[in-house]
Amino acid sequence: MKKKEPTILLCSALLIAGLYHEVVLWLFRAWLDNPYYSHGFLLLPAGAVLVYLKRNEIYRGEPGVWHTIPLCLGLFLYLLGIISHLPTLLAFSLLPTLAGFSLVLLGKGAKPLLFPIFLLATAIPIPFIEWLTVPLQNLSAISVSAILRFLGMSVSMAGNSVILAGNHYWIAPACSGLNRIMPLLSLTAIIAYLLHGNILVRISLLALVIPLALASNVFRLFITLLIGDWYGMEAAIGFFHNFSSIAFFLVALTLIFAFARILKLRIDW
Amino acid sequence: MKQAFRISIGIIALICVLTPLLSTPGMVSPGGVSLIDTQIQGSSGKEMFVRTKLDFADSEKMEDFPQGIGEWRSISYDWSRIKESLGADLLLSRAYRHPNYSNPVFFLIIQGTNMSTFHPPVVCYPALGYEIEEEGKVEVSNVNASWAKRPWLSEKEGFVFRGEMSAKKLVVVKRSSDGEITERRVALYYFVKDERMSMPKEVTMVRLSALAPLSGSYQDALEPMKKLASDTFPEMFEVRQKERMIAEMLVIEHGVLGCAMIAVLVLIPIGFIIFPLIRKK
Repeated sequence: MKKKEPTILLCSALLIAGLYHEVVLWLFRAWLDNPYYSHGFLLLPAGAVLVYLKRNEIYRGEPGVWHTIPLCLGLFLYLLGIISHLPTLLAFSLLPTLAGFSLVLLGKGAKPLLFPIFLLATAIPIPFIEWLTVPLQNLSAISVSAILRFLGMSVSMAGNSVILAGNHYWIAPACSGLNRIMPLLSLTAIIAYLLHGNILVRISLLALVIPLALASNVFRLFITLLIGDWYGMEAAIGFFHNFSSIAFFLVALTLIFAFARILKLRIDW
Repeated sequence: MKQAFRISIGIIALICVLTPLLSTPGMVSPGGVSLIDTQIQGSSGKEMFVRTKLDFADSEKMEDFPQGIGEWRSISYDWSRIKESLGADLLLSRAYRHPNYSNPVFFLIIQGTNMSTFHPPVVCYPALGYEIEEEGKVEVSNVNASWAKRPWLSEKEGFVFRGEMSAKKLVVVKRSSDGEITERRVALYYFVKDERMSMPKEVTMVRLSALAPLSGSYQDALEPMKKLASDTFPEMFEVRQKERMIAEMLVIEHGVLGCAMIAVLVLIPIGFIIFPLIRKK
């Protein structure tokens, strides 16, 4: 029977692939088409690098019965997703299924694989996340106006538009900051994973992503409007607007590393 | 064999058996299934199985969607820029007029492969500065449903098309800077989902909207919309019988033999998991 085990396990892996192939195709389509989740493709090589970094910690351990629990949970969620027609649930069920299958194959030796698997959760499309766009557009417009007013500039608002020196700057859905939160969440999760320190402190670093992303977005909009005021609207919505996404990530990452230092998290290579 | 391997193989086999048994034939077929529902994800429980008569992904062919339906006459709008910015495969926008109604009904079909294309009206209208006054569901009667009735079975068998479909209703208002209502609209919408194994391949939203009086009843705006929804329905869809789950079909069609078949299929993987435990005892 022992000789047959690899064949039976290979067949099981193929059955899982068969069950999930529509789910994986749906995820790939979402990563291609949905601007909120386009970072999904980057998580695959990033996950591979993380596994490579921890390759010495991967070994073939003895799987216990409890190691099958995540697999059972994942497949139960899969069945629930099929019955209730919920693609998001189906996609989330892939994570415990993959984690469970790794645990069954490698026992405790699969531990370094778990984080790269669960990192994919940050690239699974959540339904109705777009509902947050409008309040975030509004919040960004109000915050930028408040900063400009504080600096003594004559500014007013009309809906989600900021009016500065007679120019209307519409805070578009893409400027709400929402489409940057998910990739920043992935990036911070990787940073928190690589840093050393208390697990709760590392989780709290992850919790800072949303306020930091929103603050960085407001800063990006503030600079865009200042450039518009100094050099004209063309300069603001042309080159700088495109460049500002990089600026956003630089500001956000600087803040995240600053907080990591405040929280006394360190990196040991 | 290690118990962990045995449990895993048994569970995987069990799910591989249960998945087709709990699916409908349309879900597992290569073409998938088309459903009309009021929810973009999940099931409202009132979904309708249809066959789409039109290729919604083909913008050129969709241009041939009738400009005149019965007494309705329409004009088209060019929304190609919005279509591009939303990343939609199709965006068809028309204003239909009927001699019996004073206001036109705005008719919109939008199709995309991902859900970010769809800002459902409850998101889209507030983004355009509207306030939501009322949300709900309405039943649209396809009164002239003879085209759909023919293949239907008896009431006893539970598959009777009553000529009604569900649509979501939204009433929105726009206010001026001093808080006065300057515009009031009623919208009806539903989603057409092409699914395989519960994973959407394409999603289409059909939305109808019309201007309503600034205060009071909006029934005069709702009626022509329901009429247009009803009149456009047979141009786009053929209603199909509601599909049963394969397990249900096995039981109905083969009786005891069907039950036995299901029991065997389910018990083999379960037996594979628990057999060594029983043997040990």
